Amino acid sequence: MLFNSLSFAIFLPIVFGLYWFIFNRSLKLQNVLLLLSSYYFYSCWDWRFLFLLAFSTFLDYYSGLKIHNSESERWRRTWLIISVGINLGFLGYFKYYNFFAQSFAEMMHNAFHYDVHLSTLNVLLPIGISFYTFHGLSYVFDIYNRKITPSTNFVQYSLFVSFFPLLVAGPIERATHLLPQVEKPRQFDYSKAVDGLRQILWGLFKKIVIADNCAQIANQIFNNSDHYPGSVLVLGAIMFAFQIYGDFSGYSDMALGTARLFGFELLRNFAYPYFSRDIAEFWRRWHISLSSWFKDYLYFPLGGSRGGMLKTVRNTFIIFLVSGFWHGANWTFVVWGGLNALFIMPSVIFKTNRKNLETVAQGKLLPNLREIMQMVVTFSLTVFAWIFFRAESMSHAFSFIKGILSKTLVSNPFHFMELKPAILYILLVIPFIVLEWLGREQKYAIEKLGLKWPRVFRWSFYAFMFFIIGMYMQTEVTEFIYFQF
Amino acid sequence: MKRFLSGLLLFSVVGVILYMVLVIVVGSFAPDRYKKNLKYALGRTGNLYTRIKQADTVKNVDVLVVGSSHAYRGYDPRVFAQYGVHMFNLGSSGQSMMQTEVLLNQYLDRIKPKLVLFDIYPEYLCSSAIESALDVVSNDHVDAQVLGMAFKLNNIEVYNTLIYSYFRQKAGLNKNFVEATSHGKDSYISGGYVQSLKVSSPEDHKATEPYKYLLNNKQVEALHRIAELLKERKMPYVFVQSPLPVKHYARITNNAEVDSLVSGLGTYYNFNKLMTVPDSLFADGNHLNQWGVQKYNPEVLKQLKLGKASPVAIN
Repeated sequence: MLFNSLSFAIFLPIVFGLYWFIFNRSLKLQNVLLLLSSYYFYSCWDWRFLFLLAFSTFLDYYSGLKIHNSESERWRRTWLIISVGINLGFLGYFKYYNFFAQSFAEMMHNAFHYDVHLSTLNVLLPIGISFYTFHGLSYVFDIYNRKITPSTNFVQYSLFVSFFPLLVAGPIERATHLLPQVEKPRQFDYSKAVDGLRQILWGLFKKIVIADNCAQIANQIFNNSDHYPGSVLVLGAIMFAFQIYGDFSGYSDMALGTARLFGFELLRNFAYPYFSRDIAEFWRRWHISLSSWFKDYLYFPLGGSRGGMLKTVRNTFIIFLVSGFWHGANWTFVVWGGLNALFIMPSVIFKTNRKNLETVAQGKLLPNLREIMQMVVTFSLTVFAWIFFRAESMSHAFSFIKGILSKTLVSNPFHFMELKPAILYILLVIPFIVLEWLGREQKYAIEKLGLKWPRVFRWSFYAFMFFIIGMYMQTEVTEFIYFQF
Repeated sequence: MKRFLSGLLLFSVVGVILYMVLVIVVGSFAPDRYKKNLKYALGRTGNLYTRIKQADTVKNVDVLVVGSSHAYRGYDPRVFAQYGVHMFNLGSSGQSMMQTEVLLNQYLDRIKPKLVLFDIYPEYLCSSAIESALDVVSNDHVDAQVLGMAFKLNNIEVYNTLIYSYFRQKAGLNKNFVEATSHGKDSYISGGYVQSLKVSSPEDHKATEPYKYLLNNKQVEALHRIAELLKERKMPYVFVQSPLPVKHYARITNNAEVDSLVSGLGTYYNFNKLMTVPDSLFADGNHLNQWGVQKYNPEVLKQLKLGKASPVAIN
């Protein structure tokens, strides 16, 4: 069941109605309803993986209690290792086994001309496994580090792990942030609910209008990259940049908006990353919940920036490479992570990585020339790295880049008949960028847009957005990119 | 909460109205390339607009032909007339079962035929029906039948086109529209037929790889509903599959499945088994040309005459 599907449009009002009208007398009942709804939501993909989700939830819940109640440090550590080991074991089995088996066989063949015949697994990747595994891990880490005490209510803990708006693609929540909200009674708040609907609308627009249309062009170009000149390949990479941003940040907006309808505030996941002035800022604004997860549970435990420049550089590379690998079992993702680590190095070495903390051109309508240049350079580096993220293989990525760096870079990319629709999609992306720019100091671009307008104009604007969605959507429901991770 | 729900309800109503206004404005003024999900096609393919206008004036025919382009390119009212049979052809481009259902509901009572001849081209048992739905929505009267079809298809292109088409219909914007009746070697003939004087080339018949009809459940269900509808109204009907080039028919691996499905619903003649038509009598890879129709139609009438259930007097 996708956020942009008819089935979700039916599911959401039903759960909303039951939640606020039938189950509103008791927090316990509301939580049970949300938990059952979340399990139903998850089962719409594949009910068999419900058992895995339930097992992982129970494991972390039980481990949390054991870590907390163990008197000796040895037992605390043992329970932590059990929880982390089993969680990562599942993740490794479902997501990485085939990758390691194939990589090992290839290495043996290339290095020693020895053919290893390892059987690969024909298993489906349980949707959302990377996300809910990280939810659970953050919980046991926080208990182990004595930042929180464990939940003693299994329903509440299960809801924290599997709350349907965030279950399949995040944001990756923290127990310190979401569990207290699960535990306390929630009151219906008119302005929060309206704000939630507005954010859902903006998310739908990003996904359906921006991402899905850019995907048409990006897919055409990436799937036939050998046949196109450099200018078209550049167009393809830029289209992919908007596709993945619209897709994932649109999903996050819908998740945040949906959660707000039920009285929950989820962690912000995106903050206008393409308006960043350097790569360090980009990573404070892109997939924020994952970046901060790696920072808190990997970068800091490794020593962070304490211990000299070499250690800082090493730790930075580690978190970017692991982050790349988290996205998928393919060397292209690892290289994508490595490239970002390289791009961020000047900021790390010259200690300018916390230079651009505030929003670009804060309080002003337009950026200055220097800021424009910085944003263009950062965006270009990001787009370059996306080529590896999108490519099917390393050789595909290299041939794509080789194609860009050819004489054909200066040619008309719209010369090809099948790419003519790109003109329309660019015309859709331009006002999108303008809206994002104007709203860059808010949680999402249209958060405050039109709030002071007369209702008739404000509603006309929302209706216009629905119209643009209806006029430019794909006729088939499309999946979200991050569901595969 | 009350404020939230009443606001939501009010916005839903206002939003739908504004949405429709925007569809009409964009439909009226924007160039086609900016109307991605509005595919209004008045009089563009298959002459459905002209056919519908004629259908509004036709009554008490002997045979009403329905079906896809195989129908409107395959049954010539002039040949039928030579045998004393008054026929009207209500075929349309890509007409799938769902559109046939709509057209039968709209025109059976008005035309009152003695027999319905349903030409089944099995490709349209597999189709999503969107293209032909857009043809019907653009050229037919928008009424409850068409609206019902749109809901069954639940497709945004169909909804947008329906809104715009309904506006044009109500505003009388199509009143003076005259559809071109001749397209190169194709000409519209009064009675719903499109005559083709083209002759297929060897290129049209070069494909050799086998393929299978992947039947679409929605279409199969609509076919069942059509048979039920005709039975309920005690309307005699026959299903016909018009001939394909021999090699083309031989490529299809599940003809038996289609034959079994259709013959289970009523009298069915598969002319691929009853006659052989040389490639020179086809206009392209699968439609008969005028000379092919002149050979095929007498065979159809012969079968109808042989079939004792036929209520039509054939000379």
